[in-house]
Amino acid sequence: MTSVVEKVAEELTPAYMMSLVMDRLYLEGYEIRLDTRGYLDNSMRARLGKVTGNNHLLVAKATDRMGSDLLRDVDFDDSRVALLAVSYFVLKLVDEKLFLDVKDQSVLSALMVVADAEADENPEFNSAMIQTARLKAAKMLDRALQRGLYLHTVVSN
Amino acid sequence: MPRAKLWSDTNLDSVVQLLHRLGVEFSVNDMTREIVLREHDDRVETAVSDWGGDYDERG
Repeated sequence: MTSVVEKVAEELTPAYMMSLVMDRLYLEGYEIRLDTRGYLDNSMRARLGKVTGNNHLLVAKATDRMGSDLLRDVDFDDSRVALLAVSYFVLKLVDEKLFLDVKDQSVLSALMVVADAEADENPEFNSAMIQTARLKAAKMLDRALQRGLYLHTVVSN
Repeated sequence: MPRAKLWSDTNLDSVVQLLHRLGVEFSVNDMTREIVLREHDDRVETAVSDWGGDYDERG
């Protein structure tokens, strides 16, 4: 049975994964919009309010474990592909009706990233990178389900 | 960049970073490296409407 801590951590994980990859890109010198990161943090903070203060640390540890494990499960050597793959992964969660809060900032950010990457004039992403990201997103979803995540649909906050 | 460098194992630093992002007030015991949460108040609800101050702290 999924505990409340694990359930909230599952809800936080998409936004956390987006944040982790954006942080990595920032450290590599890419320009990341601070407002987007802020919205992701905001979304996570709102969901954290579902648990009592005593459980905040447990939620943070569980979220970090889930997000980091999924990123490690898939072999990334390019952070741009990682960002795109996580975005596809988040959208797959929605498509599979495992994450129904389509207004969550992770979903909105994922939509922006995918639209941007698939725009013809974007020099940062070529078709091979997009294809790779899609495959890795599918693998990420498989691994998430294998780990027992998202067995219960995440609904609106 | 090698994968191992991209995503570190779950560790104190990443949890600390996440707690900062979540607006949770805490301290880390220098001796034991244990994370200790400060007494809970209405901070989370306040943080939701007052975000934005932490994002320039990345190093």
